[in-house]
Amino acid sequence: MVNGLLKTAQGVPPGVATSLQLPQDATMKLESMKCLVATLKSMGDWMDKQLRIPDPHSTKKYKDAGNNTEPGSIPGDEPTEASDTQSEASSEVSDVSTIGQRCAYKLELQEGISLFNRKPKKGIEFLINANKVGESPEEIAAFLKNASGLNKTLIGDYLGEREDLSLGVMHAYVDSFEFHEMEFDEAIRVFLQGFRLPGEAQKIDRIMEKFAERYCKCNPKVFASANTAYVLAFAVILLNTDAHNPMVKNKMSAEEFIRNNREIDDGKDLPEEYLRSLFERISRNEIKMKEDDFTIQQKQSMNSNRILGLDSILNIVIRKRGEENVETSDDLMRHMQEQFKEKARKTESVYYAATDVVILRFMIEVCWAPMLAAFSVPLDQSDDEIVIALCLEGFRCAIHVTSGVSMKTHRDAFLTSLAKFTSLHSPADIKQKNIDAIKVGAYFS
Amino acid sequence: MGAFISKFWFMMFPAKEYKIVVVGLDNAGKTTTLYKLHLGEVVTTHPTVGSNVEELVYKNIRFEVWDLGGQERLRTSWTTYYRGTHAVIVVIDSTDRARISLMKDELFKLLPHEDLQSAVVLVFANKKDLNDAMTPAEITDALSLHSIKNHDWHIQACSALTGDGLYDGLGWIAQHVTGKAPS
Repeated sequence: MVNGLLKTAQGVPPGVATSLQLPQDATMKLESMKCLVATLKSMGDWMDKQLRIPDPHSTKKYKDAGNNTEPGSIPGDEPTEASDTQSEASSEVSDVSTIGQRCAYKLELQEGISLFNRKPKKGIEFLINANKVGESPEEIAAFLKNASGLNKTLIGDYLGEREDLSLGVMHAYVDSFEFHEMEFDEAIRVFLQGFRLPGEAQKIDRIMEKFAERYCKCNPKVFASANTAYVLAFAVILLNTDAHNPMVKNKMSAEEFIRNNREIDDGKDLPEEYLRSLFERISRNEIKMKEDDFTIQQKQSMNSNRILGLDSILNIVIRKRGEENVETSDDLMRHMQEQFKEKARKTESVYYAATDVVILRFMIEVCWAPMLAAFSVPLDQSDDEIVIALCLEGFRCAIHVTSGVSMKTHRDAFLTSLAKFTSLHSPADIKQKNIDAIKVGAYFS
Repeated sequence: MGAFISKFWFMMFPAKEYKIVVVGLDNAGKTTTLYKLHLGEVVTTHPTVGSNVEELVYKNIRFEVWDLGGQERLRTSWTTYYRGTHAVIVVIDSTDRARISLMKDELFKLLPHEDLQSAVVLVFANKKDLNDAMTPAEITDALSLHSIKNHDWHIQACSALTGDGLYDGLGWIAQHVTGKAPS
């Protein structure tokens, strides 16, 4: 089942892209809705089967069927995916407790990450105490470098702190880079990808000083001393500010830059050619982080976790509904698609075959809220019959599943909002869709 | 009518522009000061990688304020940072008695710089409302501000957190730079 969910999550983007190229938002929305409903429905069906006949063989059979139908609902899905799920499903090495543990682990990790995104130091403390991250600066540095979902601005703030631990982490972080035979500015660009360099002078100072030391260690012949690299690194950061910060009105010229950096190489001048081409490269091509082009919101929804793959789709659905005049930039979509592909590559190891209903709970736990939103927003705003039918179907399945695994709160959440849409309290507004909603409600009572 | 005249006035005499650099030790409150002075929304959707630079408009004067720290180790290339500077704001943590002499040293190494010859110096004695804060008089002594002969200087107690005193300081700068040629 988790397979199914993840596959659905990952399966949608190709569909997204194709429908966007012929700019048809509506189609895409519809497809993602369909896909969600299908997911829920199969959850429900599977649950029914499980509850009645707890026989692993029938599960397996169903799973195969499920895998075949689900990707089928998405045009252009690669058949390879279905086959690789099947092979995994047949390995039957699943175990509720493992998944439970894994879930708990993920949740705690997630909690630590979101704490980090509010208070970096506390987040690190929490993660160390919860044994998610080792205590040594090297391990923390590796975590900051590799974990997804961390806010890059706050990583930068953390690395720039003056405390012993942060300093140690920053040093380990810098030392984990290999700058061998890299141009100076290229090394700075690579280095500044993973976090946002803080704007405070002393923080820039500490970080770039360490960077310079590392650069000189990797390239001992370029400068007379690490001090040269340090002054030049600072000068490059300031040049980047000067050339690209819109607040700065009078820009520096190449001559000024060269003049400003006289005698920095242990009292000698660096070759003018060198400085001039450095100036050209920085002023023509701004130093920035990879994700600078995207809003923080999207970043967060993208990075959060493997599970959130599904969330992101839901977000798209919601966002699309929310803004009527969506100028969906193709670029953005393409980027999301890339992200998904990347994610798919990263998460290869986390597929499990489901054997117990309990697992459903974890899955619902993860996705119920965005699902609720995805169904109710369009239900509220749209008058399109197909959309409404889909939404209601979604509601129906969701309630079915949640009540089946006795998740009361969640079921009630779905039920309440469904009840709201029946509009029974204001008969004047009743439209066909409200009547349909009532029908669905009646089905359950 | 008044609005019209003022609009007309702005058209005839556009805002002048001056450059201010903010220096001070770690944790003195430079960043807080900078962003407290910066009125309105801080737009940080795509902040440029680099130093904090903000634009302030005060009494029709535009200030470009750079957070530069003033690290002594970078002295060799200070020109990069101080060219065209009209005012230096020194932010002091009034409770940090241990490091005030360090700040004094940095200040006196900084002031003789050729690009700062005509700059006025404003000292913000920040965190004035904390219990063990030094008084402006104490800080004046500790920094030996009286020995500064070539620059106009002024000390202003303030709280960057509440904004108290910041605009008084900026007002002083506005008065003292307007006589000089803007960049």
